[in-house]
Amino acid sequence: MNPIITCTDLTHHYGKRLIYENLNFSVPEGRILGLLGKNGTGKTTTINILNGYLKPSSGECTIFGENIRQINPITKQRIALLIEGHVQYSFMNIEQIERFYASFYPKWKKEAYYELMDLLKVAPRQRIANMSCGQRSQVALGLIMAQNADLLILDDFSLGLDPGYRRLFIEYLREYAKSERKTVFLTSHIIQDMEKLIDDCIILDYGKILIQKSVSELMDTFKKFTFKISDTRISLPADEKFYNPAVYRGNGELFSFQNMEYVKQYLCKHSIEHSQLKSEKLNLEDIFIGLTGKY
Amino acid sequence: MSKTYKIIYYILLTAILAWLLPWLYNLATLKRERTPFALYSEIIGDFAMINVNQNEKDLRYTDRKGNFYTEMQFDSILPMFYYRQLVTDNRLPDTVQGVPITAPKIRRENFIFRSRPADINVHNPKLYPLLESRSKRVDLTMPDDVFRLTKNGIEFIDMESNRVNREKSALFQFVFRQKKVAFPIQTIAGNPTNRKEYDEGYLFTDNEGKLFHLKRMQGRPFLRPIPIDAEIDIAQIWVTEFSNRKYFGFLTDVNNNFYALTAPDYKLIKVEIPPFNPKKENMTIFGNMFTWTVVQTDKTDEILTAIDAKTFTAIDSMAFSSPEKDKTGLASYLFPLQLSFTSTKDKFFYPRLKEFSYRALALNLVLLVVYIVLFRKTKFTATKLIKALAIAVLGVFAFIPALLMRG
Amino acid sequence: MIKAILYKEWIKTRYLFLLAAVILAAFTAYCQLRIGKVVSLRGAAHLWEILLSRDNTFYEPMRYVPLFSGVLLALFQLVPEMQQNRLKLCLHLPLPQNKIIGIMLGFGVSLLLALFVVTYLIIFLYLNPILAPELICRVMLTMLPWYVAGIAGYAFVAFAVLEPTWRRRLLNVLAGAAFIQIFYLSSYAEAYNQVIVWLLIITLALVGLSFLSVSRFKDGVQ
Repeated sequence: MNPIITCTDLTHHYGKRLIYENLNFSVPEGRILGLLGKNGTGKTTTINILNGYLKPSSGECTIFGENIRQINPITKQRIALLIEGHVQYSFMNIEQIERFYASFYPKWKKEAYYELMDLLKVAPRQRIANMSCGQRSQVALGLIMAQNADLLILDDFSLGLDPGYRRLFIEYLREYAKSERKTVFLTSHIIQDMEKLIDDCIILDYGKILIQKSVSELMDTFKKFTFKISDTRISLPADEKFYNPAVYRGNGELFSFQNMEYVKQYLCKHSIEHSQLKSEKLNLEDIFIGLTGKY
Repeated sequence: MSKTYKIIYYILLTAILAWLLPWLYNLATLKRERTPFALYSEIIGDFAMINVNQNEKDLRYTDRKGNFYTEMQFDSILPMFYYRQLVTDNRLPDTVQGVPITAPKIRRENFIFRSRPADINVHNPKLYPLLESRSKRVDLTMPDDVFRLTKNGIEFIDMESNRVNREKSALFQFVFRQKKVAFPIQTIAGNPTNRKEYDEGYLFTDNEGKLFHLKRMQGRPFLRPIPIDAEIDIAQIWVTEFSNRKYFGFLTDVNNNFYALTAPDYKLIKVEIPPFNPKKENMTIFGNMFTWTVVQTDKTDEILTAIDAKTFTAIDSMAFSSPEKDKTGLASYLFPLQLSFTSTKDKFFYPRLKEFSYRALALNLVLLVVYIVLFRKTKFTATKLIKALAIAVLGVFAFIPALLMRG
Repeated sequence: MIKAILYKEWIKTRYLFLLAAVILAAFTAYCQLRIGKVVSLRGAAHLWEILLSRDNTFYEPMRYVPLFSGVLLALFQLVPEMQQNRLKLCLHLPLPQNKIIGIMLGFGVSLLLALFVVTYLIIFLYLNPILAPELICRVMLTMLPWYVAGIAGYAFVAFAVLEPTWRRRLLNVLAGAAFIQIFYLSSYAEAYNQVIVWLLIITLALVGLSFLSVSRFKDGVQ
């Protein structure tokens, strides 16, 4: 399958500050891919580069095979965009904004928009500026769904949403994307609930991609190992297969794609006396923290 | 598009700086030195002047020979100018140069004439009120109509109704044709105000360069061709209406000669002063029954000529140099040119480039080197070449925008 | 699609349009009341004499009104686009970027021109029965720079608002202030006659400076 988005050797600096270097990734058709990372790892930077709002220091991105710096306006019809914070033309009301966007997109599906709007308890003449953040997110989502684009790019859609709206947004989006075979590229710094939405994830750490995998593979293979140590002064030596090994009040923990055997050998090799060695599967949020650390 | 506008913005900033930097600089440093106030004295046969001392506040009364006068002595040597003071002090002489004088006679004979380029270089509406010059009343009154000069005639417009007064227009048009006025009219001058002693209407030249005098007398047109030497090509006209009633007006020709048109005999007599271009120079005449002190001021000099009021010949002359002094003299090293939009010499707005200076080239080259050093690591582009050339020619004006717009 | 963009611009500016129309109308009415008062108290001839002998046009209170309208229009139209980087929405529309911005700016300039032409027409219609064409010309030519300044105000406020960085925004504002100053340098009647057409052409061309700002926005200049 052709990738919808490809980024090659993407490097960006803000002034002298390096955001990341030689980033390579692609988004395959029909998948929902989440770009996850802590604040400041370059998620929004990537979205901005992809949408042509930022010229990368070097490297190239293509969407539908076209270089994003010279993308054809017609191709843009196939890309739906949700800006960070569900920003929309808040000086319009829900009818005006629908009428506005409808003329730009030949495949516009008015019903998709109004179906979602009917769930909102807003007056048709109420300006978007006077709506709650959750309501605004629904308007933005409705517009994206009505646009009926092949690729959806969502920048931090969870920002400012309470759990109810976040769940609503996720469920609606997943259902929509899967039934219409849409490709979705999204970023989020809230990982909670994300496993219900995304197929694949890229986890960004400062300056690089930590991991790109499907969520199911990640959840199957990535584990947390815990054990008790009697000698509290001990610290765990580094191992390239382990993420964030730490000891806290006699409780050791480390994260890894390796199995129990590897961990046992590691503990033996470094003569670390331990007991109650256990492994456990994690949810996506814990995996994220396991990979990137708490700090 | 944005590349074009990058250059347009650069040009705009350069132009703004070429205007504002010299303006700011001049505001801070430029001082025009005051020239002494000087008048020709019939008593001492020399120019008497008041020097305002640069450092002290006091006035020094002096003449060209270096004699100093007290204030009272100074009044006495300029009796025609200070006659009111002399009358108050009971010091007014009975005669000057053997001619008996009285205060009322002096007052009647004295005049001050002023012409400034800004009064000539101006857009004025081409509508002219023609006052009744033989009104039965003491005070002049403004008419109810104005006339306009068209390509081939004259017409009067009633101001209250804003309609052409056909009858009056036809009456005047008839007289114009009778006197063989060739339309369109070239130059016309008058003083359409009722704040004057009497009215002499307008003086104008027609399309063939002939000079005419137009007045309204008891509602009737008075139009008189004034015979002048065919060689004289009139450029500028002033109707004087001084209380001495000795002149209809002053005129200049295209060769910057200055003439008086005497009254009542309509003689055009050349006044023996240096060439005077009213579009560029200021002129003030302090006239009395004996002499005129004609003061001509151009950009750098003030020339005074004493003219015999009877013969219009020069008695004496002197000059003050009063350039606009740039105290530090730095401007010519800083700015290769200066852009301005207005001038004290006219009431027009348009861009003017002046004060071209080759001395600024040195700074331009320094700035060019700085520019090249600063931007040596960046890619060479056509835009950079344009900027480098601009800095070489326009110096600091082009250098600052290049810095502001970097990155 | 063009209609949709115009629709969006109209929603943002319609109240300001009304406000500007009211302000322009109020100032025009005020000036004309003053003229009417002169005519009724001292006669039309007195009005003619003043216009003939002084630089006064009776419309001086309107000097800064077009500028004020232009500045406000640009603020109302473009500040919402820059809040929360809303311009991204605009630039994502399936039209060439310069076309979108061109339509937006064209809308603003047209709105201003419409307001100015209407006031100009009102002034002409008011003066036409009272004054000779020479004097009407004088009044209207004297006012013309003020209107061009209104367009310049719009151009430079748009240029500054759409600019993504504060440093450059300041530069743009200063450049704009200097450029607009040009229209108020001379207060003599008809002083701008020789150059006003050129100033108008240059000012209209400078409306496009905003393309530079938008291009910087798209490059993500910070």
